[in-house]
Amino acid sequence: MRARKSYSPFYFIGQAFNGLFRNFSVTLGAIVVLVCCLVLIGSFYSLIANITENLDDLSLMNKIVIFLEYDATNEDCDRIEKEIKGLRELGNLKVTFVSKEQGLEDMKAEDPDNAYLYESIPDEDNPLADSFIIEYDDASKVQRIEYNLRQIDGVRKVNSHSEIAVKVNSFKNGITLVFFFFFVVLFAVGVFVIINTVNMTVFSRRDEIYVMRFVGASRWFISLPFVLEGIILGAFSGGLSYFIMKWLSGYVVNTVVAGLDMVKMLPFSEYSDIILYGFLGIGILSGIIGSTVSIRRPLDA
Amino acid sequence: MIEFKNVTKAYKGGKNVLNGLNLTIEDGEFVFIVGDTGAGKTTMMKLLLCEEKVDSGSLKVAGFDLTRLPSFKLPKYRRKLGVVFQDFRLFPNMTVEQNVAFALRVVGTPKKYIANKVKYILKTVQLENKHKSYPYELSGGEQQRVALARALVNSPDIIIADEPTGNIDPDMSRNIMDLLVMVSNLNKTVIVVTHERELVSHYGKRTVILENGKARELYPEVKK
Repeated sequence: MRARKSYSPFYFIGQAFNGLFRNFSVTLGAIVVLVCCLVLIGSFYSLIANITENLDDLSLMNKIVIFLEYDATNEDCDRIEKEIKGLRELGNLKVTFVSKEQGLEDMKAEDPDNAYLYESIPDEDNPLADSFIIEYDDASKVQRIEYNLRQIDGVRKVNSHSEIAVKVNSFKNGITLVFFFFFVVLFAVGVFVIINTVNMTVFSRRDEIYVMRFVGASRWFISLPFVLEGIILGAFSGGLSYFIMKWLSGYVVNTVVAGLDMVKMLPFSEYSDIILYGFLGIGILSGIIGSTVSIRRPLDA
Repeated sequence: MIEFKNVTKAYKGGKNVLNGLNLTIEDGEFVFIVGDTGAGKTTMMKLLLCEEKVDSGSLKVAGFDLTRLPSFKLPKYRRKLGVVFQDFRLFPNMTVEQNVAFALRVVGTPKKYIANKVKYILKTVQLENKHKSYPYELSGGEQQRVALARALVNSPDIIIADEPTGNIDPDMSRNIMDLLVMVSNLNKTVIVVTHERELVSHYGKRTVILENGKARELYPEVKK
């Protein structure tokens, strides 16, 4: 009877670390390049997150105000509200009714210096109309939303900043596209760096691989130490990049942005999970891809 | 059994190296393969080791059809083979026993069996006293015996020796050949590729001459 096969996980892990230390200067160089790539990706992500946050803070960016006819009745208001809520295909719309009395109160609150002027207006002479504030989440549909609102019977005026919203939206899309482009390029650089590093180990162990192939070692047995080497390299670089990103973000918040009232910076904790898992994911993935590419040729030779 | 049937093989842009090769080697046979440079010996070895695929014809070895062997079955096939290289291919940073144990370790042999198997095989190749030595401390003949031990330790059915005496002196060559004959007597197929006609004629075993990509049988006289 043939003995069951037995493979020690320590062998694979040991070989992976041997590979990393065998060409230490190359490994160190790879870590530096990978960390640079990851920190650049993280910085881009952080930039986009902060731009989005600042743009969203411009309160009118995602709101449309519609004013009803001056003589609108309660029934008209209910009907119009139902019709607005019926525009489900245009995304998630949040509808808030503002009565003309509430409108006047809001104006007083916003302009306290002239509050006495508003107080002098009797209720029956209120010059305002009932209105609805519609908040939308999909800025790309703002023009369609505006058009549909204009078609509702009883709507006198539609106030929106659709042109600005569309411009902001295309600006955000542009930044996202640039980010995606950089992401692909930097990811490719990461994979290339790992291919080079693992190639060095493959080269220094070429005799071993050759003999392993001819004594019948399976492909996974030969490949696993190299793949682990790539994973360790990627994961370590990912972890290190996370801490650098954390420090960098704190530095920017405390020194650069601190004096700028107009700019609001997201705290790192708001997106630290995405950065951590993203970095580890990118590092490990590029490690797997890079090492798999490196080992394929000597295995097939 | 090893069966080449009308095998042809050419490399890119070149003429046929093997040109309708027909050859059958029975289990337990000892066969010398000889031929001039460029006759196709190396290509034949590469086909047997599955480093190359045949262009046409069929090649069956130990129940495996190498013309359509999927890559995931390659390790299983290669465990049926023991390969001895001309340049030994020993690891200089490993001792004799580590070099031999390496072949067991990489195919997943449990640790508890490794020491005994290594000890047994080193005794077979008469190197039991050198188990702690490093390759650079050994003569060429001894290094080739370590390589032979490594090829034998997984109990393969077929031993393929590519110019096994190419890098060692004549006395040691005899010693290596004697070991290979002994292995053959254990009902293992042994194929020795060599250009040393003197050795071939000394052992009087079946000899196949490769000429123009085809096999021709030669039965040399045995020197007494």
